[in-house]
Amino acid sequence: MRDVIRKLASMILTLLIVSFLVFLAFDLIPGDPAIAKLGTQATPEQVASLRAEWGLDRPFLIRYFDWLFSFVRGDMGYSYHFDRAVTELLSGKILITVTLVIMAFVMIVSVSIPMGIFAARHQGGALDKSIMVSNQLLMAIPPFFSGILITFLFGVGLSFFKPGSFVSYTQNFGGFLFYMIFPALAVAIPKIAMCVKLLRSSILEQWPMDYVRTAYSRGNRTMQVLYRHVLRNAMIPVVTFLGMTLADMVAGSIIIEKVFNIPGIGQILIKCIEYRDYPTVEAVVMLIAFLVVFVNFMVDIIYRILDPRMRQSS
Amino acid sequence: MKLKRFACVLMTLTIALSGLTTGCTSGDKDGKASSSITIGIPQDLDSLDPHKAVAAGTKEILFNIYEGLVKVDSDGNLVPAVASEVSPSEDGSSYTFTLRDGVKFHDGSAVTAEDVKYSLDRCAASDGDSAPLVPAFSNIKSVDVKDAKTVTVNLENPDTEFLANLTTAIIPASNKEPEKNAIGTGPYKYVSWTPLEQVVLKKNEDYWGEKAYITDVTIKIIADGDSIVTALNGGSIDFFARLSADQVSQLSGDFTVYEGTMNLVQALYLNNAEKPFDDVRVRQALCYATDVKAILDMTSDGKGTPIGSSMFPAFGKYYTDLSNTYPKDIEKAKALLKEAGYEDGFTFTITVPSNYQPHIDTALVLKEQYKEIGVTAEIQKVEWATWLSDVYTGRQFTSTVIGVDASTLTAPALLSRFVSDAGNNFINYNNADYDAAYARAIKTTDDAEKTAAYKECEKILADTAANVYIQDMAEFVALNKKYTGYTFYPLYVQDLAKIKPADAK
Repeated sequence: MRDVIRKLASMILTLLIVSFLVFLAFDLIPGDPAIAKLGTQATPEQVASLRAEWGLDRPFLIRYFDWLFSFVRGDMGYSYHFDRAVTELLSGKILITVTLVIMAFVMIVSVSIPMGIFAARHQGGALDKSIMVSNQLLMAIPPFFSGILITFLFGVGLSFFKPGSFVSYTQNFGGFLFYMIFPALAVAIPKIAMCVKLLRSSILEQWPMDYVRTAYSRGNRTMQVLYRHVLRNAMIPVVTFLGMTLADMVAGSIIIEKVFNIPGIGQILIKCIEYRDYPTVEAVVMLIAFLVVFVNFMVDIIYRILDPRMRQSS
Repeated sequence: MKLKRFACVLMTLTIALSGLTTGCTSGDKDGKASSSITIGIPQDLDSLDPHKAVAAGTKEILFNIYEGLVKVDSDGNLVPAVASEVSPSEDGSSYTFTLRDGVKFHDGSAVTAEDVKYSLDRCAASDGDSAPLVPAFSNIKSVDVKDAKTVTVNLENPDTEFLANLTTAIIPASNKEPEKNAIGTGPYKYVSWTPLEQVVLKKNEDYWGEKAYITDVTIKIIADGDSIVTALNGGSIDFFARLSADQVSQLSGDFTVYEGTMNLVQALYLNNAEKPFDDVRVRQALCYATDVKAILDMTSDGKGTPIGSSMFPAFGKYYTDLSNTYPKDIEKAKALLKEAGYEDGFTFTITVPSNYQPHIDTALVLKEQYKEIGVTAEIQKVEWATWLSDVYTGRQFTSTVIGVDASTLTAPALLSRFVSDAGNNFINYNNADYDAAYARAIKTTDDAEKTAAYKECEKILADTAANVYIQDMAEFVALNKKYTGYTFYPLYVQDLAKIKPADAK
């Protein structure tokens, strides 16, 4: 229990540091939100008056703490660039990014785990070899490139979907899910390859262990040994990897959203950095940071379920 | 009996469902095109509030929703809109408007003189200490409601060109949240806006003037330049303005391509206060070394209008063609540099905003051309926000390639910035003759004299080589052949109400 509290405390501290760094970064980089908003037709008076309206004329630390206290109270502030409340802006976008990440994650888990087990069981066989070779290749593909390949193959070549024409979930939920399959696939492919390789080697590492021999000697068949004993141990590094993948995909969605023209939080983030709309940037970064920290926390908990030794030692 | 009832229910359901599906897919491929269109725009709106929106890309869309007392027509003339009649006082110190009968806001209420006063006062920020939302409105002394149909705008200083600023949107005083709920008087009504996705408009059936042809307009935001052509060819959008020559060449045969101009002054803007460009001879040398035709050939297939001063052809009577002031002459350029003490050339930086590829392309060609006179240009790409704060507002730059546009079709919109003490004189231009000529133009109420003075200003800018003037860039607009009627405006405007289905007469 104390351990959980300590973890929670470090989570909060991490988030605080992240929020401060983002705020600081905006203070250091060139560009001013009011000037960016008003553009070339603005007079100095207009800029000054908008800066005052947004409170940008106050000292850095006061602005930070003002933002922090509002944020803690659930008020994420006002988006300068989109002229609406950040909460309202993001609420429609989070679902899009989350759908993308969940779809990719389901693909990764449902493909790589059976494939990894299969490859390990048929180690050295023709299929195992071909899986390994293609893995090596797919692992090296960055998501934006697999995205372009998928657009070319399924979008331009086979016309399964119209490239770049995102379907809004408010208009057509089925169409939205269908469109999201392709970016999800683009994100999932390299991760699947890595996960298969990891699981395969992890299983093979467990196989010569003493407990496996003991399990056999107690009359278990191969399948029983594999699923009841080996897999449980072999999954530990895989869970860590999947956890990292999940966090990585949320942050990495920025790129794939750009390739597929998906208006998710990644695109919002890019736009708002461009326009120095830092209340929105803070909110998005905090969201991503929270997910990363939260996933790590969950991974820790899953460890404990998978491996009773962890529960003992702490 | 039971079976029959079941069949009946099934039938109703089927009809209801099929109704739903067609509702979703209207505007797709076949037949239905007449009532809807999907257009693409490169950037999102920055506000729905017409008085607070500043991006040109936002204003060109809001043009369809809102109207001012007067509005611009496609020839650049100011025509009455919400007002039916304008009577300016002789000296230009006040303007009296008679409101048009039967103009209704999109919420159904009639436009009153109070709404007009509310809108103008709001933009002049006359009630508070904040800066006016429309800078020119700082000249408004008062807005007086004479009677239910008459409003007078009184100015501090007489200005015979003030009318151009009264294209400012008239909005209902009752709408407390114009940033959420766009209510205007234009040919299209606002339906919804999903940031980064789309804006939906619907035809205003009660419009006072010529009604729009197409009922439903969906405006999709396509931020990624590479997907524009795919979206057009794939049929997900029917219209896109401001395409490059390169993009046009990739279009399928389904499109009519309209060619116009962007209505801006693209130039290599030089910081006149900074070495070496504080010397007129150096600036002239760069002008002589610049081959505008080669730039057009390299960057846009030869399309575009060469210009020689801060004025583009859409300004009609104010425009004089000065593009031949500095024909390409390498020897002359070298001689001028020698005279100025830069016999061995020099190195300077061209700062370009990284999100405007046409300007980057132009800068690259210039860099090559200046090698001929021994001048080395280094191109520095910066983010737009950085450009705005450092180059434009901070004036911390040596030179920059950018297009300067005009907010209204009055000469001051382009020329006022070169007056020595103008707040937006980002090139630090300083010329007493110019200031005098400009002051004369503003002061006089005689139109011929005014026009002559403005032309003198243009000539001074060209002769002193304030900047290396390049072109008014070519603009290409693609419209699916299912539609017709696209009309260019001399300002940054997309008039959707004029677009009609190709089969309608």
